[in-house]
Amino acid sequence: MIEIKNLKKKFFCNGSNKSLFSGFDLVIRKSEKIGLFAPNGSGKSTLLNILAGVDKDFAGTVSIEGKRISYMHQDTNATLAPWFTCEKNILLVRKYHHLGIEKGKALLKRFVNEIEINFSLDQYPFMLSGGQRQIVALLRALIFEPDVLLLDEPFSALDIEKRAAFIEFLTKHFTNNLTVIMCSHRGDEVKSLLDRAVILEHQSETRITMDICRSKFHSKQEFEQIISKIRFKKNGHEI
Amino acid sequence: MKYKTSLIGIFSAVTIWQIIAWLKIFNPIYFASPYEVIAESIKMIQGGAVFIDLTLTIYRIAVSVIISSLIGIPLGIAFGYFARIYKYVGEIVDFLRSIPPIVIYPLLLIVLGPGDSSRIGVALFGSIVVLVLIISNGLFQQAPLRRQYFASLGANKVQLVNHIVWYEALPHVMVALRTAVSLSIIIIVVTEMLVGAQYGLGTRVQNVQITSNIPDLFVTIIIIGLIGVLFNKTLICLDKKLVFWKSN
Repeated sequence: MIEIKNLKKKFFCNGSNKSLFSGFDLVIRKSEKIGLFAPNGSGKSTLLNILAGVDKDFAGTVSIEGKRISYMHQDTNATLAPWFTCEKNILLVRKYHHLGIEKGKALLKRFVNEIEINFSLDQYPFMLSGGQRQIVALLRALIFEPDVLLLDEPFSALDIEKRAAFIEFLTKHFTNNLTVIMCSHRGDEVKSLLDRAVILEHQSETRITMDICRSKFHSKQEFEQIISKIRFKKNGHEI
Repeated sequence: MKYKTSLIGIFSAVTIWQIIAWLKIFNPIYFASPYEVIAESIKMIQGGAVFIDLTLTIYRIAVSVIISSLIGIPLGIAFGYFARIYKYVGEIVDFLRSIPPIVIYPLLLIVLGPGDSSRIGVALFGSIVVLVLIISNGLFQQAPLRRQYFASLGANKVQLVNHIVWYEALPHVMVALRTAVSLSIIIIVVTEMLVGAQYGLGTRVQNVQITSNIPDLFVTIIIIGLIGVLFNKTLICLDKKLVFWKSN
């Protein structure tokens, strides 16, 4: 379970402190696959940074059940190490969790075959396009068999074909024990992966405007129909 | 193409130098022409004594650079990574940087004697401070995101230093090394000129005062310049190999 209680977060902008979260609460049950939808600047990425431990400058309580938390950051350029090959970037995290590298290599080979990657992982990240780097970051997020997976707009740089392949791939690898929090702008892209959608809005602070659970719907199709209508533009949203 | 343009530049400079010598703009007693310099170089090569001076100067510079790297690079990375430590020592490092290294030479002469140790000691003092300052400040300017992100993925402090901080520091290490090498060359040659050295390019320059062999002085100055170029070019090559991601 992930529990965010009374979260307070301020950021410095134009010479003054502005409040992003002010007493924000959210509970995510174990193995839930939740989508966070909000316009830009509503704090989706900040929330993931806090959950992953990248951002520690906040007040309130954040508790996460799970030993292995994997986070795919939106900025793949800054979060891949350009001095290591893509394969090393991917496998390194297994070392951090004392998991076998050979098993990791075999798993990676399986992943590569499943999503039919058309570039070599022996290349360095700076040799790849933005979409290819996003694929590398996604593979890294999955390679160490995490308990909690945080994905920040994971398909934003992928073309339609690769996006569909990856959604199919993730559907297969979103196991029952895995808790997923995924940020996105569009519900139709990720509807099949989710069983809950939380819509955020930022006025003077970020708050939850809608919380849609799959369990409250008669069928999966009905839930997905609603989710696919979520679509955010830069300065607002329409549902 | 790059070499071609460089050669044209060097050839032009030598031509202008020769013209100045022909026109006798400067007193020929104090101004050697390229022709005289070449003739003196041949004489020096045949005599062989210059090689002892050259070897000893390069040896002193190399020892200074190696020892200062072994101390200055880890210190610079530690101060840059653990900003909290730098808060305590930052002012001291800044103070040490403000001291011209050569002024501690008399103190080292008393403590270590007039041998190579005191000369290398002065070069170490100057180079270590430069390495620490450039590397630590370079790391301060790095966005912390990559380190924070890898820590969130489970990397411990040692893994963070080995996999992230060292590589983030590497471009700054190369810049710092180039500065440290230049400083070491200056300090070693100057201390050779001052006291105690029997051999060395600085000593050779000093001896010209007695012999008034101006072409010899010109050749020695050119050799000192070439040592700088050699060290610098080697470090630039190393930089391109080691910091391959920077240009991409």
